[in-house]
Amino acid sequence: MDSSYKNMLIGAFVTGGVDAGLSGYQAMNPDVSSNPLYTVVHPAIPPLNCWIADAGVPLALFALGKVTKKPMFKQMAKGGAIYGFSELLGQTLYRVAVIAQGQTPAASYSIVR
Amino acid sequence: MKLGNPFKMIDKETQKMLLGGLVGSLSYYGDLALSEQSWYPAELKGRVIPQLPRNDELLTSIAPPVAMWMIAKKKPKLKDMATGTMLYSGPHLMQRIVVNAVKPVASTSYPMAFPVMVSAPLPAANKIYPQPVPVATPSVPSVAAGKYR
Repeated sequence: MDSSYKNMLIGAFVTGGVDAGLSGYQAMNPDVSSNPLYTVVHPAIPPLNCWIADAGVPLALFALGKVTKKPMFKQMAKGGAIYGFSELLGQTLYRVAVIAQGQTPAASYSIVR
Repeated sequence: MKLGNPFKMIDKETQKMLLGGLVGSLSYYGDLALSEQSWYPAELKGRVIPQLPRNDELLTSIAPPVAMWMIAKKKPKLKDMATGTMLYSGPHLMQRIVVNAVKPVASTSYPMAFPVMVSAPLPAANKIYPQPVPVATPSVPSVAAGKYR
């Protein structure tokens, strides 16, 4: 495995780690939904913690790569973006499908099962 | 201002990786949709250990990258897609394991393979939690049954 793939894998795991941390905190404290970090803007859109982890972390890695001018961080951002984009798109499609069936989607699909 | 197709703004390799990630994501959420059906096998809803994700979650996180890698061995063009699936499924499985490990275990989430242990009833002479001794109530002679009637 060459270094670019390694960096992408590290970036994906960093993004997944932040996602796991935020979702794990929510799983430990079920009454945390009043926290602004876990705001649900619209039932068809994933909650704010998913956006912070899946879009915010790759963007932060990309900005770090721009500032430090190291290609390593840009490769990490690419890996994180592949994870985050897939997660956000998959969850949004699922939520839209649930709404289309006349049901209300869960507030968070990270802790639903 | 002309807006182009954002999917064409990225190189071919990244496009294939994104498609691979979507394969992993759609298999996971497709399984989530199927698991709410009544005919869904109960074995897949069980857990090997209560702290681990459900069996179907493990299956939908491990099977897509493995299958993609096996296909990519025969068709090297799909290697980038296989990498994309791995980039999604690996961190996602980690996320599921962490969330299930910290989640308080509900009594219903015991796997069917391991029966739930039922604790035996406490013995009557329990030193830690002694049973209350019944207090003898003094019997009051009834006026009707006495000899001074």
